[in-house]
Amino acid sequence: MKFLSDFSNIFKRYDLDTEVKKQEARKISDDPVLDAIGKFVVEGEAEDIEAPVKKALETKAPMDVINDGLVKGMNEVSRLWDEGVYFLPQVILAADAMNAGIALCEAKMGKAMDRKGKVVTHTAEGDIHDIGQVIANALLNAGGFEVINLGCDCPVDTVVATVKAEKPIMVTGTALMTTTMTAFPKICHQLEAAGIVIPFISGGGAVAEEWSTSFPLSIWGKEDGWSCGLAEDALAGMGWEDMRSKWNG
Amino acid sequence: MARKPRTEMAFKSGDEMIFGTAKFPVTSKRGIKYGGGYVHPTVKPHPRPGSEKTKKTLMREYERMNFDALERMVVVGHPTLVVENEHVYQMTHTPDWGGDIAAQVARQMDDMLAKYGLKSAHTSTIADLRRPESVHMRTSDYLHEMMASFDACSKYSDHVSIESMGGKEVFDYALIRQDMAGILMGIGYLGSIDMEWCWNQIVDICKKNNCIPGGDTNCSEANTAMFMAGGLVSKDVPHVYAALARAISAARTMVAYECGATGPTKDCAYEDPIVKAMTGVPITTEGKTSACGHSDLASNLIAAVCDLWSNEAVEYHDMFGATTTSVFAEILGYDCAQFNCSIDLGLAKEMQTILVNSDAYRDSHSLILVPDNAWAIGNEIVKNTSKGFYTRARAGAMKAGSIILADTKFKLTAFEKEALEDAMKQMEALPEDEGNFLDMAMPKYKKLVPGFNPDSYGLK
Amino acid sequence: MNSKERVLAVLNHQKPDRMPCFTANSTVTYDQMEKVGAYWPEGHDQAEPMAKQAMAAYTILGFDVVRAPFDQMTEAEALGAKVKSGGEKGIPGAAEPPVYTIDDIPPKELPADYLSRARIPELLKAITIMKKELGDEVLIEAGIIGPFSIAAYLLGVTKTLKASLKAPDKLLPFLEISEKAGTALAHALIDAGADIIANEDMTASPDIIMPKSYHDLVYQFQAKQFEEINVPTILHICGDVGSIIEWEGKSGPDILSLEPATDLKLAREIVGPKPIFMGGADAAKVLFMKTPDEVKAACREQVEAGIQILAPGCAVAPGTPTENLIAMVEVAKSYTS
Ligand code: B12
Ligand SMILES: [Zn+2]
Repeated sequence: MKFLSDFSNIFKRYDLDTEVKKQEARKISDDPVLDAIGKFVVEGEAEDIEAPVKKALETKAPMDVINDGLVKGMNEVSRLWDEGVYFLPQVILAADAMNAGIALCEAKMGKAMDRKGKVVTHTAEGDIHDIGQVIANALLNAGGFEVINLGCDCPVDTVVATVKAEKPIMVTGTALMTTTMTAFPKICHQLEAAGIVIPFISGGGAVAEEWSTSFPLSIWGKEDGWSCGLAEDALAGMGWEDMRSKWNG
Repeated sequence: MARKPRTEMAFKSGDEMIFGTAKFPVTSKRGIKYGGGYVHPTVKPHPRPGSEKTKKTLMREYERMNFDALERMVVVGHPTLVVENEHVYQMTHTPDWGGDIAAQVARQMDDMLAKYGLKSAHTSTIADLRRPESVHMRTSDYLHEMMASFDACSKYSDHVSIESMGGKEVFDYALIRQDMAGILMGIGYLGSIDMEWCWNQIVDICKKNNCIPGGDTNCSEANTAMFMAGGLVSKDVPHVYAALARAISAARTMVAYECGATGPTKDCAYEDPIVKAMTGVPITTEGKTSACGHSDLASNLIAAVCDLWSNEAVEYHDMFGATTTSVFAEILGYDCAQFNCSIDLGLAKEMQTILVNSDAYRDSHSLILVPDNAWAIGNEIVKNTSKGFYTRARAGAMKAGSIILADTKFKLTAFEKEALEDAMKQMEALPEDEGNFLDMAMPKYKKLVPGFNPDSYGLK
Repeated sequence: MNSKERVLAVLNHQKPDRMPCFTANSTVTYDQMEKVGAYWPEGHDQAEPMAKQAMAAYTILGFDVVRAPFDQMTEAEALGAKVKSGGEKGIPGAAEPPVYTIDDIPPKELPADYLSRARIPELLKAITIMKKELGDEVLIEAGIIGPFSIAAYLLGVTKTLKASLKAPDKLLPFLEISEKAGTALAHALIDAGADIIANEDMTASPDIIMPKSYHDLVYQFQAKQFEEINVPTILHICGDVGSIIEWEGKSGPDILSLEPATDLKLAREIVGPKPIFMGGADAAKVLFMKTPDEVKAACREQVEAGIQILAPGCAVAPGTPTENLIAMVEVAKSYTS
């Protein structure tokens, strides 16, 4: 029997199309230079990204380069990660590329870019499992927040002192060990005692929803992909109790 | 009547198969020759809920909806019509209801023949009231009611059919777990055993009453898989599982014809292209015209080798143009006119090419029903007939799987590919020998499937 | 059968009297420390308390094998990495900053005094004590760290992950020396009395690196390592390892230690009949947090799915209740042949 070689005028395989579409990086911008910038973020090329960023800065405002090229590229990375197409190393490299681009833009502006608000992130005292935090940092950065990164194995007192000094909109913690997650309620109680009412995101493989919502201020951060959504809510002034009922339960 | 296992293909190749022509045509009481060169429409009216309250209201409903369809043939000039009435529970449970409705439609058909020369025929499809997980398949009252209903209806109807349920308890358990052994057990083995047992009796009743023993369908299992697999973007059950279940169901549904059923077959048996390749009986299929009942991905393709063209049940209602039964009968008749034109113009093969190209590569389930592929699957089944129900069903399913994997034009999503490779691995790991398979499967499903009662199938 | 005969039977693909229970990872808990009167941090760097804590797995829990050490830093520390003590409650980990950057070239050979560096001598002594005390009844298991994880301690995890994509060639010399470090330690451990070597390579998990990186970078070194170790071996990689298990199997360990996240049925189809599957309840979410009944149910589910040696899915969290660990042993006892 005769068979067509191309069925595109006959039917559309939505199943295949959507699968392929999900796995491919989407176009970042109609502007070729911004698109190249976005692509280098998606590919995690911290060195190659410099040339197109410099070129874009000749004609475009630095904030536009950040928002329409670098951040859009990072959003695409975050989507690919959510879809399970990207692995951790790719996300980390993409964040590096984005940050390299942002640094060039900030140099051109002569100042750091305006950020939406500060978020303090840390990995619990005694815990060196910081990968979840590294990703959260990258996504928050891409979302336009200023990340105050306290790194891993960070003492309770340091977290509390930093919050007092920096006045962030939100604090996050990552803990992957049952021996270290106990730092979170300590931090929250100390903050409360100091009269600081601010959402605290409990993240990391060790913490479960039930536990995370058993002490004040805390909201369970199931996955890094939530980071910006949570920070946006905090920025909009939503209280920790409302955030908890929105994101958890 | 004893079953005659089929060990050879009725058609010599997929290419030999075409709509309108069967190897063994069958002629109805009023002279419609199924598979005798042309395609005929089959409409399936279904009563509105509530009309079954009394025998009188139900008879009235059937009288109207069947008549509307017959009358529309005359209005637009279609030469033939088969009306199939699928029993609602009461019609089988109280056999004289079904029998009286069959008698009523027979009178209407006689009238239309006398008045206009319209050739029409009636199928009574008896309801299989047996839920395998809750009743004994061979001794329950339901079984006796069903056989009484066959007896009552076959006195008046041209043909009788059924959608038998054997093996559904095991199949349901297995499908959601994507367990190929259970799917083979449910459809391929238990389904076949139950069909042989039922159909030997049905064929005897038909002989006695001079009625055509029509056919069966694996609606309760393979169609369940097809509907659960759903549309292109649904992922509840992989489509390839529906395709494999379909291939298995061909080995099962064929048992009716091995036991003496002759067709016309049941419309919702999407396995029928494979059945036709193996047995040569005239088949009924349904596609786009059955969108009123369910959606499928082979709507044109499934007509490629049909002898009767149906619409699946449509509930009786008013539409702008007329009642639903008139509307669907009219559409079906026009579809048949188009098929029959292509036959008389010598363009049937071209028409078939169009039908097949429309859908072959939409879905794996469609692909295995392409005439050549359907034939190849059937060929594996009949080659293995002597090795038993299970072995031939497994052979058919393995062939279907390898057809899907080997077709370079057909693209599977990663999800589907993984599911198919897994299913193939599962099947390869199963014993070829039926006895060895049963040594494993009987205790397994006895333990795992709560309602599975081997005695229902005459097994220990 | 005693524990030793039982485990040997499984290793020889013969029928044991019942399913054995032991693990590729650390077994120590605070509760066991109290019971044997040996504590952290000493258990991490002194032979006597280390041996006592390891043997508690047999004497207190009833596990069929005893195992040391309990942290991941032995080889890396001997190669120059700085270690941060975990104090009384925690486990030693890598201190910042890492000793190497990715542009450094590490030594090609191990230092001559490698085996007398850092905590290695105490670990070897602990194994000898364990062998002397329990060697007739149970097999002695000693842990080494897989090449990718050691490299990550030398370079820092984030840097290692980036290099796995951008500069895999620069990673190779680190993987080479890390493999040698693990293999040399394994030989010394065997000389000291170890009967089984467990290889933990947590950072090589598909949760962390791409399956392709595992295949291209890790597999060859693990294969080399198993080739050179002449006692029964276990490979433990965390998480759902479905995407790399083919290569884990081919690298040649006798036992694959799997977390419940891995689909065992599929895993078996991929690796074939030979590797023995070890696994059971999730170490953190079930063993640490749930009740003995839930532990039992989780273990049974894994056994039904194809586990041949019952084990915590990964390292036992030190706060894990003793009754949960004993519940595992009870499940193992119920699977008799
Ligand atoms: C990689 C790994 C390591 C690496 C860590 C590298 C690093 N720099 O992070 C290395 C090899 C160094 C390591 C070491 C150890 N590890 Co380890 N390790 C793991 C492993 C395999 C994966 C963890 C991981 O990074 N996952 C990926 C990240 C992305 O997941 P995540 O952090 O949970 O983040 C997710 C969410 O929690 C959330 N999230 C996290 N943070 C945030 C923040 C915000 C704002 C939001 C919204 C969300 C969010 O988003 C992420 C998903 O999108 C786990 C096992 C496992 N499968 O989980 C064991 C595991 C965590 N390790 C464990 C152990 C015991 C250890 C050691 C103690 C081993 C030993 N005996 O020495 C040492 C630790 C020493 C020390 N003092 O800390 C145990 C912990 C047990 C427990 N619960 O107490 C685990 C669970 C394994 C087990 N036994 O079951 N480990
Ligand atoms: Zn692990």
